[in-house]
Amino acid sequence: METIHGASAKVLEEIGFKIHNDEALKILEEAHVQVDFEKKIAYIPRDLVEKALAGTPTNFKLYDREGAQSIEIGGDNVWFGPGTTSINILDHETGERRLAVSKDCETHAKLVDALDRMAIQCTSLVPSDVPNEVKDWYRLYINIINSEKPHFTGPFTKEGFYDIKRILETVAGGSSAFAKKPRAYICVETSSPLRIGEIPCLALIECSRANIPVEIRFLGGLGSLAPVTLAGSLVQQTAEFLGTLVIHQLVNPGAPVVWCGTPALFDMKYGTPILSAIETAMMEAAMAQIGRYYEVPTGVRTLCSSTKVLDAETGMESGIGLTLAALSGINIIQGPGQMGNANLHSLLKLVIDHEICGMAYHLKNGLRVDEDTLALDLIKKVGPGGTYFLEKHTREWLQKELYLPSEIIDRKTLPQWKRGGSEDVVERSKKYLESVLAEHEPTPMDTDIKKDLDNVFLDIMKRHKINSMPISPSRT
Amino acid sequence: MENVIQDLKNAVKNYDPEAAEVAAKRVIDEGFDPVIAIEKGLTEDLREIGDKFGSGEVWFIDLMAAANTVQAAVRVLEPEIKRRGIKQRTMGKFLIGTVAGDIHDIGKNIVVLLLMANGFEVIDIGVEIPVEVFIEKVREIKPDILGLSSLLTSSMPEQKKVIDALTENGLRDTVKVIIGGAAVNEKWAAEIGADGYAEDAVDAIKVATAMISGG
Repeated sequence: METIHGASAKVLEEIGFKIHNDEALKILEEAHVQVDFEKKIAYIPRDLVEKALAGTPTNFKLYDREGAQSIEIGGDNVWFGPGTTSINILDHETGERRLAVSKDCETHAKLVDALDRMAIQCTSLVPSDVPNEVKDWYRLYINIINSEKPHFTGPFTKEGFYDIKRILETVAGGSSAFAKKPRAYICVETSSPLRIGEIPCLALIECSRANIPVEIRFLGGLGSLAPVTLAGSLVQQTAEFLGTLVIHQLVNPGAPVVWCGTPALFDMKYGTPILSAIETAMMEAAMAQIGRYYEVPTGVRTLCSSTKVLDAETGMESGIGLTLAALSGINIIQGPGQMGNANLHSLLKLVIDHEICGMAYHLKNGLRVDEDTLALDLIKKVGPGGTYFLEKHTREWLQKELYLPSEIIDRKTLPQWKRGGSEDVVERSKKYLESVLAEHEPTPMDTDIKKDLDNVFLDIMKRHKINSMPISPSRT
Repeated sequence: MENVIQDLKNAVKNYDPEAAEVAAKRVIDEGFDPVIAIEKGLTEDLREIGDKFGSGEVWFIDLMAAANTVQAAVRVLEPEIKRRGIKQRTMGKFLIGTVAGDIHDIGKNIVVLLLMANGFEVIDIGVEIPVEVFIEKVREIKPDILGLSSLLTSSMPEQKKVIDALTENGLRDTVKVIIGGAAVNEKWAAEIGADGYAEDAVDAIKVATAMISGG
């Protein structure tokens, strides 16, 4: 741990961190960091890094839309959210890959709202049926009106960031209400190697000021934008996180943050970024260890299979990725539903992955050993050659002790399966998905707040001179 | 009588064998017809649960618990039926056992439960049953159907031995034979001269019912 930390600190101090944002460079200069304004590189000393780490919260509360319930981000807690920002969707009705549209965003938001193990609502899709300049805040709006869960999103433009901020603060009933009870967190991505762009840096500074939690995300790419060796890539990832964290903590000491890794492997055969490689899981586990050493909350984007259809490889990659991430003790795990090298999203995969999340939780909880579970009296009562089917103990402990999957998982005998229509996992997931969507009705927003939010929506539309959107509030 | 039938039904619904026994005793104490009590209070509901298990709506453990409850009440009522000399209407007598060399009985027990739920009089003689015992029991009980279960490939030949012994003892025409169990299949059934093959418990009911109604 000390080796990785020491090497990362050395990288920041000697090689420096390139920051495409003058305000951030000025903030660093004021903190006596040596800054080369021409090259936009800051040489951040170790003591400043350690000061930032010491002041970073070990955990924070993330609230639901109404500010009523919260989840604790940090410690041993593990939360799941769907994968983010795919342009394409694998249509569950036709089986075709196509560009996602507003209606898909709405259906997806409702589904995530309905699935118990999805603790966080994410802007997983990018709607193709609205102009580019409004995509970012618009998809967040769709999520918010369809789900009361805590939200995660990221801006695409500078203007979009301010619109997102305005939407979030409107929903909370003002900026101080949001700062007190954060209902969302925002993605800030570094641009490897050792660089952060203008917009992420702006979001970083503004979020820190407003106490909006951020996720500092590393994408990397073993062998492309980071060393192919895992340790070297880890050093670079840590350095990028620490450099970004220093700016964040200088703006507002104690502002909440999540350290997120999405360590992609760059496949040298096909030239593709792979988020389903076993090295991704290894890098995530290593990051989780360093995160615990630093006492900062961690997050990942994993489970992203590289497949283009739902097949055995999709399940294999998702199962391995998700299980390892949960066992590594990463606090926020995003990825369920995502596939196709992180550019394709599937509602069917999401409900299948939701099962994997259940099993991963079960695995993480381990087994309980006490008088009740040892069941010595019962073993004596049943005796050699008996059965446990009819014992009260069996019925009593069944639900507590075993993970009971949904109908997506096939546990039937061959004849039972044949009588049930010989369905494969895709067909079973489709049935499950349809029943969830038919039954679930998201909790509506408070009418006054909804009115304020809709006014913000209409105001932004007016600014962009857009007359109509596929999903939009009615004008009052 | 309505009242006590409802108690029996509730006991089955709640998988409560103690309550079933109490209600069965009331049937006897209050002089009600035990056969009607079994039909209306127990088997109707058990059949429904059995059907629902077949279609996947009811869990296996619930079928077990419901059948166990029914059995608890039937154990109380049977001596009374005998005492009164009433003849029960059944779908037929079904003798069943796992062949020698095999101690597996979960699958066979499911078949037993579903047969009972569907109105068969089932005589389950257990596991690791030698050929001679099957012959002796067929002679003694005169079942309509004999069920031979084998989960293991190693004990499959025992099914053939039982059928051959039935022929040698002049009993083959008196009884229909159904074979089942994980190791066996339709082809094997034809090869050894069984009258039927059941893929699983739900299938067993279908095959047995067809045999009885087909005469």
